[in-house]
Amino acid sequence: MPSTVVHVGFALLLAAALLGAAYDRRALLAVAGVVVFADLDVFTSLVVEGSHRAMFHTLLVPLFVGTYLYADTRWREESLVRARVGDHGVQVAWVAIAAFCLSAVGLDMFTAAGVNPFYPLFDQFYAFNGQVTWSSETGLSQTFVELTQEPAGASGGGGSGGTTVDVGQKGSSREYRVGSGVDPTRGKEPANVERVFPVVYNGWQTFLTLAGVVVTAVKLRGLPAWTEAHTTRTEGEVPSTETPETGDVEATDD
Amino acid sequence: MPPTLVHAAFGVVLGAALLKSAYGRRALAVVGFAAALPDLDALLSVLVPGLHGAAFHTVLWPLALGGLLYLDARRDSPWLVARFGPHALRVAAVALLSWALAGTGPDLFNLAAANPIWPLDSVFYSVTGKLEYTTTQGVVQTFYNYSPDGMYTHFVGQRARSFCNPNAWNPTCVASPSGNVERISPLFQGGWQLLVVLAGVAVVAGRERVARADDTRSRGGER
Repeated sequence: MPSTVVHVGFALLLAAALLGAAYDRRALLAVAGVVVFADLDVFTSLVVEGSHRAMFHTLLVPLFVGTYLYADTRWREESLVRARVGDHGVQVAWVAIAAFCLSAVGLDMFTAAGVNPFYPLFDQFYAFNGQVTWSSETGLSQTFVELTQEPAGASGGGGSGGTTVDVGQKGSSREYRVGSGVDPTRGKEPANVERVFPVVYNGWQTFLTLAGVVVTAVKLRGLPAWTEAHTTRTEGEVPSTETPETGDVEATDD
Repeated sequence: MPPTLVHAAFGVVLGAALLKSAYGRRALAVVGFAAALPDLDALLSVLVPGLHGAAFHTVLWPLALGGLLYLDARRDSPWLVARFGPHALRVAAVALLSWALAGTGPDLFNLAAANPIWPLDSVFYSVTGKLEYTTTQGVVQTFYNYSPDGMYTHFVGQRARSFCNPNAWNPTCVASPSGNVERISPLFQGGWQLLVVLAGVAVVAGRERVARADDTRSRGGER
């Protein structure tokens, strides 16, 4: 279960990759803020039992926001969002939505503890975790989706001949909950309960976080000047008007 | 080690982040390939078993090539630019960074280990652990362990001297594996790796649109 730190690290990486000319400190803050927001449902879990990894980890939020943003920027004559935050603002919004889906919800959904991605419409936690391995003897095998053939007559709602499909269902928020440092156990905790606040577990989470930090540092400082594009005078072509690399200028709110 | 596809996905994300005006499909492919390149030393492990995770995973390669790149860039008309076009220096620099960061990095932070300064030293590293804060124990970390009497005074994940990474090419870590041994090649070792690859695909698709949008916008601004 990756911590908020890891989520932000991965989100920084995605932001660096997708923001293009809209990349600047303010945009990063916005994207990171959106990702941090998802984890704030540790507090709603104090009120609505079992709503951590559900209340704000639902994909319905980016679905609605994304639909509105698409409709506003594509179908409306004069986009209200664009009029307010500009082209770069719209770009930042799209990246924030992507970071929310991939980092805030995705990282939790693709690790052991899982999320409740369609809460509250459809209350079911999923942890889409597993392995795909190729072996020279058994060929390709995977454990992401487990199909179990149930004996005839056994109870089971699987429509196709008593087959159960396990894609990592964990149960509804009544049966399953994800603990956190804020709300470790169901109901009221004893005063001396141990509260655990993870920062990074495992090497890969460390790598993801460090990679986000390193890429952000490199991008904000800029790669050394000697890697800039050369105007090729040797090739005898007409000098292109695009060579003064407008994209390389540090993004400003113009 | 994380599968090669995961390295390539990291590389693609890195490329999309750092290529800037040098961005293009070919440039992105070069940077992604640079991240996958270190895993080719698995082939060498057929000859010398301990080479996987070392021969191409050492950061001395990207460092040395980076030095050459710098020397080339300082010339009046760099060879790389004459050969591959005006953006070649940026693409090469990002590719070397991708080699070290996306190629070696994930292996270093993984139980399957890498040797980042081979052949200067023969020690493989697996930098893993946890860092957390608990209300009963305070800050807990297991990345670094200090034990003056232990095998390593400063332990950050050093592996045994004779460490060898088994892989599909050399599954048994002996010089000449017998013919009918099971060869295993992981494609995804956990949900997060699948997510990273999905993110890589999303970044490739998204970055293309961003590049086009930025392009039309900057042109519109000039005119």
